[in-house]
Amino acid sequence: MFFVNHMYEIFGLFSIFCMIVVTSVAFVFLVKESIKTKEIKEVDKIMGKEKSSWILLAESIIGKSHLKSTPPIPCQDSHHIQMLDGTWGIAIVSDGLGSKPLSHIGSQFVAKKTASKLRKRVKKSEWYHNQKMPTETEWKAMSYHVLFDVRTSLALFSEKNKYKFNDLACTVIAVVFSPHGLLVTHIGDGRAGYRNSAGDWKSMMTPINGETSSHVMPITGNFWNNKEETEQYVESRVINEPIDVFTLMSDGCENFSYETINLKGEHVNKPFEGFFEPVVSYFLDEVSLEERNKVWRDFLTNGNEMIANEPDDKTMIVGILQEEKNHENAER
Amino acid sequence: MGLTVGMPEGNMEEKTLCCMVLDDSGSMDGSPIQQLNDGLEFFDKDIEEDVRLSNGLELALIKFGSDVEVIQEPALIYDVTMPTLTADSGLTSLNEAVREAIRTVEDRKAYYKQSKMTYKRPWIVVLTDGAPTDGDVSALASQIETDTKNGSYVLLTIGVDGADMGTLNQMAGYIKKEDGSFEKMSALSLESAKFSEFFEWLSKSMAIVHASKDGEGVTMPEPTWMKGFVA
Repeated sequence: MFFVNHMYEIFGLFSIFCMIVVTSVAFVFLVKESIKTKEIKEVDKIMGKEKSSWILLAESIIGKSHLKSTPPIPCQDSHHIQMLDGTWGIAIVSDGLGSKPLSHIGSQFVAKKTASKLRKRVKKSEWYHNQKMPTETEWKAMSYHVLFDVRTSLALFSEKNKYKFNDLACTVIAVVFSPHGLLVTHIGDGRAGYRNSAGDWKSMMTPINGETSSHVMPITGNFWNNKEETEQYVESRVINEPIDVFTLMSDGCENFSYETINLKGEHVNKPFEGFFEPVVSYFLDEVSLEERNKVWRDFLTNGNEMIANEPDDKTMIVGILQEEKNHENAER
Repeated sequence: MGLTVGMPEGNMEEKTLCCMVLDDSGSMDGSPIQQLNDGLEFFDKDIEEDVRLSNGLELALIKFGSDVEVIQEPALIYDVTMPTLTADSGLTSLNEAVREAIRTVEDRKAYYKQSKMTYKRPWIVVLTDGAPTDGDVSALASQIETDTKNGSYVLLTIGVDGADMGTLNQMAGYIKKEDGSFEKMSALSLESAKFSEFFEWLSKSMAIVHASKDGEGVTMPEPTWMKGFVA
């Protein structure tokens, strides 16, 4: 009886309730899409569709040996770039361990998750708002938290998808870049370097290889409970000087772009100028915005005999700071 | 493609390792050890004059008498100071010395792999004037047979005057012939006073091996230092 007598009121209230729910869901959806679109626009801006401070070249290419395997092994390298604003950004390279069957999934997850977690923390930090580099202590603490968070997220991801955690094993190199300097943190091998405003090429990390390449310690490794081991396997550095070029790469690129051994057979660790100076000049002066991605992809695939014959996956990110006078050239 | 880049030199040069296992037991005292030292100096200078070879050839030196000692870890010739050997006491630890050479070669290959450096098959060159005093060589010969057939290294045995050629023949490695079958190498007999010619032959042979392509058959220079050699 109550319901019959108040049927219209109940129906009215129910309709209002449904409208509120639908409107809220739509609002949340639109906000998320707007954020994504903004991010994509920012990355597009940087990757060549609009004027920007940085020319960013980024590509992952499957290795020759992967293609020859039966069945073919997917590209186990991944990369990700996110801009924080017009001049600050985050670049990530992740290299799945060759022996692990799902490391291509692991590296994709780690690359994206590291970028998003790092973005959140950097954007909240005082030093970023002051447009300054953090101290070594501040950066070390932040990078440890981020990488541990990423590892935890990866563990949850593996549980949810019923993957074996260790099958997702991969390395990671994370760089926060700006014209004022660089922040780098990494687990495992690969290389990262830069050119300062004086024109000197330097490395910003030392690959941690282990006794052999099969002993590279991935982010899934069990070293997080012990401070000494964590410090042994996670390197963090602050480069507090003006820079105009930076690079990070998986180890498949180091033989043709890095000085790793000198003529005396001694280990060195330095970006090879004979590789990077031509790349910088070429992309600053010769390549239009529209062609950049294709030119970089083609070059990293078969730019010369050594690059073409590299058996391992290749990922390289190069960031080149454009001076004001180059903005006009960049919009050819 | 308009973009041309250079190549980092040090990374590029393929490595060839020559591990010399040198007898400095008591019986080498006098003229043999002096000639051995002269030969090493000659080898050093000859390699340094070949720019490409000196960037790619790594040398390791192991001496043995009563004790076995690695007196030079694998290194490019630039970083090698040739030792002056003196004759030890009377014993000849040949088994242990060759096993040490095999370990040195395998460790270096692991290093090349880790550093992503390409390399040619290493050579082990054993030079002795005696018979081993540290036991029978059968087990070692069996290992050498397996390793050389697998292509792990090339092993040459060189006997100086008075050497136990039977034992050195037993220890010699195998080489793969063009038809795919294996042939056991014979121990080579070094004629007295021809150490310099031997080291000249060795440096030329290393240059040929270093310049060769994978799987390519190589022709060594004539071993004029061998006893009974007729051109």
